[in-house]
Amino acid sequence: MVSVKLRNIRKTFGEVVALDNVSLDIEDGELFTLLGPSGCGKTTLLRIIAGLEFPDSGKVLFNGRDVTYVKASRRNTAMVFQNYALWPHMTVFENIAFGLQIRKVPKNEIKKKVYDILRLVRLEGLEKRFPGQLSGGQQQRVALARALVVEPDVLLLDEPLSNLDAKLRIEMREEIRRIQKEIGITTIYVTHDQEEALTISDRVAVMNRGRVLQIGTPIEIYRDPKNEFVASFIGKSTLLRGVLKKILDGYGVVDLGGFEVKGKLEDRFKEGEKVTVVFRPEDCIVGDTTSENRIEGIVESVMFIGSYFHIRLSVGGKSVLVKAEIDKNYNEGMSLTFSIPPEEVKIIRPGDGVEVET
Amino acid sequence: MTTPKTFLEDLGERISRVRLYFDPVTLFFLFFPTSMFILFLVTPLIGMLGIAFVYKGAPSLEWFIRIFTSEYYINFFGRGTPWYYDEKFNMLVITGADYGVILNSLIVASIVTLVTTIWGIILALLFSKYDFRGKDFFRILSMVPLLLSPFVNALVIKKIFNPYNGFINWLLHDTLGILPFRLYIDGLAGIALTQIITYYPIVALNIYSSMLNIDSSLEEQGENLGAEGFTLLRRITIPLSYPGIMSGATLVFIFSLEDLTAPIVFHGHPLAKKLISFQIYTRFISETGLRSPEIAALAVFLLFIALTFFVLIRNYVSLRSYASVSRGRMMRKLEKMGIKGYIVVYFFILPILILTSLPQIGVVLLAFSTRWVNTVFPEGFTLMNLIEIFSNPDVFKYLRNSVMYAAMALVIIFFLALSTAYVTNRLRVRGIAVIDLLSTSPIALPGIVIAISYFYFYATLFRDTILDPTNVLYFNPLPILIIGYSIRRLPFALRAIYAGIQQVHVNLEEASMNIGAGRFLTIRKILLPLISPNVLSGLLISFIYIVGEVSISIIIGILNMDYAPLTVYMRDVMLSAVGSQYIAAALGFTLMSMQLLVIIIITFVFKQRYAYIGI
Repeated sequence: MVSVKLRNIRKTFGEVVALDNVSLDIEDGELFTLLGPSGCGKTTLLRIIAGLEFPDSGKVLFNGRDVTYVKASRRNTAMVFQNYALWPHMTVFENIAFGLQIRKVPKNEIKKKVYDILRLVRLEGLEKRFPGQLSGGQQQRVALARALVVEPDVLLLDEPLSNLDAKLRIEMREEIRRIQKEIGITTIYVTHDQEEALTISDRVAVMNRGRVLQIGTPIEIYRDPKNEFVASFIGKSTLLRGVLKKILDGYGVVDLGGFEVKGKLEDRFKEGEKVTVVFRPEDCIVGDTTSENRIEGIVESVMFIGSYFHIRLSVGGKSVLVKAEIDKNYNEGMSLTFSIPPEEVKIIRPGDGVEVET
Repeated sequence: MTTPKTFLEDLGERISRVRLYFDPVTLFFLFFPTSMFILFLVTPLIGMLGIAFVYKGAPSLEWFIRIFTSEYYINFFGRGTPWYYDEKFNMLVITGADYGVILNSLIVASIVTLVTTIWGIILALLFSKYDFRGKDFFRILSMVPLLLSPFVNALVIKKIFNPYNGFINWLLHDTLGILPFRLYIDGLAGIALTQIITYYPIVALNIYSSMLNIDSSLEEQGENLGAEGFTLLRRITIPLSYPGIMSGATLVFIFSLEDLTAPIVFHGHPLAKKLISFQIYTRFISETGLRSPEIAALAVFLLFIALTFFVLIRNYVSLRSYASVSRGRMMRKLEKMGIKGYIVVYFFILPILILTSLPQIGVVLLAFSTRWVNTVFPEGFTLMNLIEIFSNPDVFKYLRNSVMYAAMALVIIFFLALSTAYVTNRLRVRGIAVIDLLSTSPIALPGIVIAISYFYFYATLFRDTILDPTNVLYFNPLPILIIGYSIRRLPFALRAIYAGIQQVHVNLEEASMNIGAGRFLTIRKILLPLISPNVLSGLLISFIYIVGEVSISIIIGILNMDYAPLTVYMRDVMLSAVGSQYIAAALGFTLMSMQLLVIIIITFVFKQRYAYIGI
């Protein structure tokens, strides 16, 4: 198996900087996700790893070997395209067998391998069909099988689930995770769906505007966003800008104009510095009037999510999102108090200009 | 952080990058068409410039000055009247007036362009906006003039408009009495009439496809804002169709300028000879040995006009291809036609459409006639003419030559079209636009100009070899014809293959390369199978237009009759004894049948649209 290292990748299309000095280390056997909004450069990065694009500068290393200028066909990566890119003039069997035929694998071995992989992706019996005769989920599995059958060093998945409906998407992402762990193949997964990224990945790199803003396990990314972009892109959170008033023992008190919040310092700050305070709605304890970090606000809107409410509060002219149980009624205009444990409040630097070095 | 690269590292990376982009297949795909165009299109044309711009061994405008100062070429005052009424015979004679060779050509081309464009707009509007009974029949009728029957269709037009026993005068004057006088159309007017009838479908089809591409919501928005009827047409529909109108009109303008068949057929009238194309041709045919630089200058002038229009229109059309801007296109509901509409369609449009299909119908009749000289209709019918062309080895030879040349040219066209379409679609390399321009330009380059530039080219570079056209004894036109056909008829196949590649998502090829197949295998196993209907359709269309090719054939192919193609023979027959026109018609009939067969195969077997000509 193979580890993938990217060093200072830069890629421009005309005036547009698609990738700006991107470096990443992807471990052997890891399921690594590139997460970001559309246009953030994640697909370009994937195509550079596949050899379908070439960086303006920087290096791509497979197991330490420089493959930056190795052709796509010689890299032994296998990519699953967003639109599956199944060849419409070939049957499922022919689609999957193609890569093996290119590798001059003997015929009976091809047959065995194709049937094995069909079993793995649970498509037995469909080998004679043409792609046009398959459902979206089945096409997806064929694309995956076609990529896996050649035993690639790296599996590349470009938004593989975006063309499926919501239910199938959840099913397929569990399927991909299962197969990936079963073979133990180094996998790079591109998605704009943060939920998908958090559930499927070993580690995630959050990207925006051609840069990697944070790398970590899904829990790290979710719990400890290092900058405003990551905090707002992953899950729901409240971001408030203010001034750091006091520092005490890893914690700080932030003046948010009218009210104060105590939180954990995520960086080295000086008193008086401008900072951003981040906390998640689910960490707010609605109705708690006794603990630290008590905040009172006016209910602006109530959104019924399913098993709970999301309530938007106006606190001193600022907007705050809290989670509340559905056992009580909340009305617009009423006043509401909540508290938030200081260890759940992160104090980070404003903006998303933080460049993460691996 | 990035450390500054040393010069050597930088160079190394650059070389790696270039090697990645340009694998052997890509290099071949770039190199093959480029070298073909440079060798067999650009070089001959530049060589011709070298002749036209040299006088007594020095660069000079002498030949151009001679042309532009001579009344023979340009005469602003004109000689004769374009038409007059002959009382003695009760006849309206329309021949056009003589403004000199250059102005005559431009006037004829302008009139032909104007009339075909207006008529094309009317037809395109009718077909794209209205639903009426018999529409399919109307559409088929409007395509009939596209059936190729070089020389013979012009001959039939002459026959149909014959003042004494032509069908038109018989019908309108003798029988129905609608015309109070006989109509006699000849000379420049005859040529213009022939060209209008032959070329209008090109404009109509270009405009039609342009109109089909208009997002109906744009028109509906116009209606919604209160525009209706003619205002809607003038302000919204027609401006949105400009790309189609302009490219159709330009093509017809150029086709009219370069047309040789109508002038050759009408050249019995002295005015018909006073056209640029005919002048180039006739002086070329008649002069032996060294050809006059004055002809080259005339050809350069023709080339200049054609190229200017081509480049202008290409830029304009690509700038204005806004038909594809909006998304979510919906088919506009066709309007049902009211009673007034039916009257217009059946009493105005239909007669004209029938008139314009008469040449092709006439060719068929002539092909099966025993005798059709001084009568309105053939005197009798026979299969002998058709049997003759297949049984008489002297006649069949020409058909066989043409088919053989076409088959060989198709091999070259296949590689040219595939490589050009591939690199222009798939490669992001600077300079691709040049290949794109060169590969599509032959559609607008006058055939006669290419033909005589070939003559100079081979006579100079291959002097005293079998490729030297002035080598009376041993000249073999075969390679020259095949290459010439390949270049001239490339755009037809190219257009089809280009459209095919455009429809194949690039991911399909990337998936193959990603999985380990090189570019060659990817093209052979993935791309070609996917676009095979387009490839075959395109090649078939090119095939037909090669067999029907006139200019290169009759300038180069005529020089050794053993190797002469079909159209040379058709021309000869046309100019010789009266009896042999039936054979020419039978050949025209054969050619049209082949074309019909191709259309049927393309439409029903390959499920493609029969691609017509456009920019």
